[in-house]
Amino acid sequence: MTALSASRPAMTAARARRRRRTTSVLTHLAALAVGVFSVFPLFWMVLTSVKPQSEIVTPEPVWWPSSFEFDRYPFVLEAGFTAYLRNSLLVAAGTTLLGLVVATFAGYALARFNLPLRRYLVLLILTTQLFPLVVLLIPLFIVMRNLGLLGSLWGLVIAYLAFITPLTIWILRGFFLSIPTDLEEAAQIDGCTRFGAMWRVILPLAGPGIAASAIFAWIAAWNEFLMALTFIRADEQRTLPVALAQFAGLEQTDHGAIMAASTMFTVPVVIFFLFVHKRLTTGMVAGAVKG
Amino acid sequence: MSLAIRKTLSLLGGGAALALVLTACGGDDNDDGDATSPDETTPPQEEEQQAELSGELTVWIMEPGNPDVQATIDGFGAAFEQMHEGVTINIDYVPWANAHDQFTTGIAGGQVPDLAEMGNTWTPEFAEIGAFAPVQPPAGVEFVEGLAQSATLDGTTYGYPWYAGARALIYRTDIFEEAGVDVPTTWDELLEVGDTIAAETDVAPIRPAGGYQHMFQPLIWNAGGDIATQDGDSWTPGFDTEAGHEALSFFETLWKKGWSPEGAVQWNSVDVRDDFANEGAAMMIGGGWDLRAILGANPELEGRVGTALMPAGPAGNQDVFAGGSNLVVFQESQQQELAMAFAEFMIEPENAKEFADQIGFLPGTVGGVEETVGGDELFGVFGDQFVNHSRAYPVAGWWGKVEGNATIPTELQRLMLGEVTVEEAAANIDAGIADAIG
Amino acid sequence: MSATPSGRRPGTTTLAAGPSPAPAEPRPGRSYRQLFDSRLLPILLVAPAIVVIGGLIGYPVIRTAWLSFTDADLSSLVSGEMSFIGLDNYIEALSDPTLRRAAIATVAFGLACVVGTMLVGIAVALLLNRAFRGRTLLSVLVLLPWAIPNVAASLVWRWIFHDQYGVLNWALSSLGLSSFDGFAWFNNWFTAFVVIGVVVIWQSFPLVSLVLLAGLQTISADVMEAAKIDGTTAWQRTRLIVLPLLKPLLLVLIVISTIWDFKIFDQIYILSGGGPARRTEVLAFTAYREAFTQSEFGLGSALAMILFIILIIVTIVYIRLIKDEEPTR
Repeated sequence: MTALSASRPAMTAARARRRRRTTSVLTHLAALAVGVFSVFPLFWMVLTSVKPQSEIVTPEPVWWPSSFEFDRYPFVLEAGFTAYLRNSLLVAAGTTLLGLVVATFAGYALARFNLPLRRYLVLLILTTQLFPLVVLLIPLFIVMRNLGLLGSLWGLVIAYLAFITPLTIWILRGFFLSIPTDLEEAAQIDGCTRFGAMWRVILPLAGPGIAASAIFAWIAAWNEFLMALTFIRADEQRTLPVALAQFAGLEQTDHGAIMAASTMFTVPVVIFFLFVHKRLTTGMVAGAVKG
Repeated sequence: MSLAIRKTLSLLGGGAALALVLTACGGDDNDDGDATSPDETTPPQEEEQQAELSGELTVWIMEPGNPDVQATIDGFGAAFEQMHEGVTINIDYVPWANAHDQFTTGIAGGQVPDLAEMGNTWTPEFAEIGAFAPVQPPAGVEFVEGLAQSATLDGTTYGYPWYAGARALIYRTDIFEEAGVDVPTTWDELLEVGDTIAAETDVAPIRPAGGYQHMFQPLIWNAGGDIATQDGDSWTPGFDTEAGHEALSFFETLWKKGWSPEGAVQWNSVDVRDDFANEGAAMMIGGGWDLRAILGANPELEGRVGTALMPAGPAGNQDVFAGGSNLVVFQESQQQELAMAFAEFMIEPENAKEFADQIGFLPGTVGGVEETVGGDELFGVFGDQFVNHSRAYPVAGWWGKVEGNATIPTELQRLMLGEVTVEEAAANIDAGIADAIG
Repeated sequence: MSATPSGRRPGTTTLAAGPSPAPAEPRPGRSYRQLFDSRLLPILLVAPAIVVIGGLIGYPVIRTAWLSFTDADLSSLVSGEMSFIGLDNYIEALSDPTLRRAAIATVAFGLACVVGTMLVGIAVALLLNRAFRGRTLLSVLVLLPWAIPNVAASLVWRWIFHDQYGVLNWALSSLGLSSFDGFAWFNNWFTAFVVIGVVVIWQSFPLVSLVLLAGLQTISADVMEAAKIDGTTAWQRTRLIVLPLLKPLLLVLIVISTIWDFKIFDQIYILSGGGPARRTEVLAFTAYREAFTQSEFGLGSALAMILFIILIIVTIVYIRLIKDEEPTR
């Protein structure tokens, strides 16, 4: 690091104050711009869902509706969104549970044991992140078809493991590596089996890592579009993202209804996200750093 | 380690419960109902001694764009259920825009309904690959030829003609009065009338749209050409001809008038219809179902709209596309007999007529169509157009591919965006069609 | 079972912290249990993951590669018949102008998104690193784009960019750019890509910003103070202190962003549908379209493999660059 000596004339107090004020103004302006950029679409989505139709389909935007129309929401629900919500919940829950089981065991094993080809396994997990879903899609489609799983949400749950597992193994391995081994050894001296030591002593400690993985898996499964689009045909098994896209195509000029459906899809995720984002970033950073 | 074992078991139990829930929610129905075909001349209302039909039927119907129509179809389902205890009819509505994909992927994945509405231009394509079960439409009924043709392959019938429809000119009588113009009957008159309306009123004359293939494709017939000509078993694409160029030129001229907003390059028939319902245009090409939807969406237009036959092209003909749908039973269905029973129920004369009247389609039978022609002043025009001035697109498997691939609208859009000339567009369209023919 | 081992104080260990070596080989006379624990257990633990990864990733990739050399289509699925056609699919993919365009668009558009995301991400991270009123609020607001699912985000942005009734055209023409009045963003491939790019960058910058912010905050305050006292400008500090220290994080983020941005599908599907006239298709979309809309499973597989190969090449290039940056590693 080079130490730079000042080559500029000394600042007068007044000039320094002015400089600070300009910087402050600029900073606040930038903050405003970034804030608006971030939040405006969400605001616009919710607003459009409750505006009267005449205030939506107009060249001059209406920033605050003259009256609030909430009847689009029951309309959307009746159009099937209760079922779609249920489907998304089931798939997300199934994926998260299965994924956690697989990833916890594997992450622990990779962190603690000298498995043959351990280094290559880790590298393999990293490379799977390279795979675009579309590369897996066609054969998975064929396999699911032959197994008769295309008519069932189970097919989707299993397919989702393809992209959930690698990253969650990565995160969990990172967490397990950060836990010192003496606790397990102590438990083993006390008579636990290795597995027992893992189950009773280590897992509870890896809570944050497991939480991070669970959150990641849940959000990924909840938002997944391409596989759900390809694997599910029957309306009653649709998940929210595909149902929303279909709805938008169906009601293509009823922007209020489309925004209402979008809001119903988005708001739960946003709220959930606001509560858990710290876990998620810590988890991912930890996983990345411990590599 | 009993605690660990207990925990594991409870996890497994939870997993099993989850599995139960998932399969319950996602499973397939495999009940077999045993049935004999209902006698189709029996009036629907008083059939108590129908043979035993039971089971669950999954039906895919095209989104009609009109909640009343949906209610009518749901009503058929309910009526059929009432007649047959133990039968449940589940109807899913599919938007036309996605329907071809839905069917293609569904057939590929073995995830098909039992019964579906199948556009007549797609029926040959899927029949060719063996997706449909052969059916026996009731004897003694004369079906509209275009529909019956589309449902027959090598002498076997694969679908029940359900309804037919043709598009014609829908226009605003009040705007025409305001501008002092008469209904155009030729292409040139259309352009003249358009210019006058544009000058005298603040409503757009007509909106050319890039995604509305049925507005554009018949133009080649009006110009005296054909989309593709058949010679025995082989087909030759026909856009790179004088007639094809004329059709494309005419459309380009309409577009360059600037009567459509720029976004209309991507508009499909629903956008055009909604624009008309919002009083944005003075004319549109549409069918009876469009008109019903428009009047439903904007009742104030009642009495201010009129219908007329399509303006004729340079070749003197004013043919439009003879549209319609068949009801098809899927080969992979486990409920074929039930599906056929329900299909035959829906095409029974009373039901077919009720349905057709409701939405502005024509029933798929010749008798039914003729009843509608000359009937209503407003809607009778569509019957006339259908019977006297309409044609089928090439009845062949490859045409479904062309439609599914949106070959023609894609090229049309490039023309509208100025990326290709008329000649280039024509050549590209022909290349795309030749590709599909294979 | 007691939690505290007898004879040891909790928190102490006689081994070094960090990953422990494998437990010692079982001595003769040791129980089967310990053999299980050291040999069989790890394999059992990893087995499900290997099954999942092998079955859901390994096998499909190989199958896709294989399919890419066949002419599999809809009837093949029904009858099982398909024939080998060698490299024909790849030749078609590279010679057909539409398909070739999709490949080029994937790379060009992907890189553009990465650049955009990194620029916005760095800027916002630097902004959030300053102390100002409302900083906490802003750090929460910045999270929102990341949380919103692809489909919903695409739908609302599509509405915002609507040609006749969209807010953006209104705003632009109000600012005097009247050519945007009624401007149809999706009529032209370039402006359509701009819209898609805005959505992608909007959704991706929060993660970049937050990770960089965490990195920024680990830069010792003392170092920054010393630099300030020396009279450096903010720009000099950024360039000579901050960026070099952040380089590892930046590189990781660039790699991750690239991989994500080359794979996008959802936004293309919802926003432009690949149009106008298939000009905004990228490989992920085209592969899907060929396979599931046109039932050309062979061609779709070839397109997917091409995307995969591009990703591998790009990743190798990046890893080389990273290695060059850290010669001591």
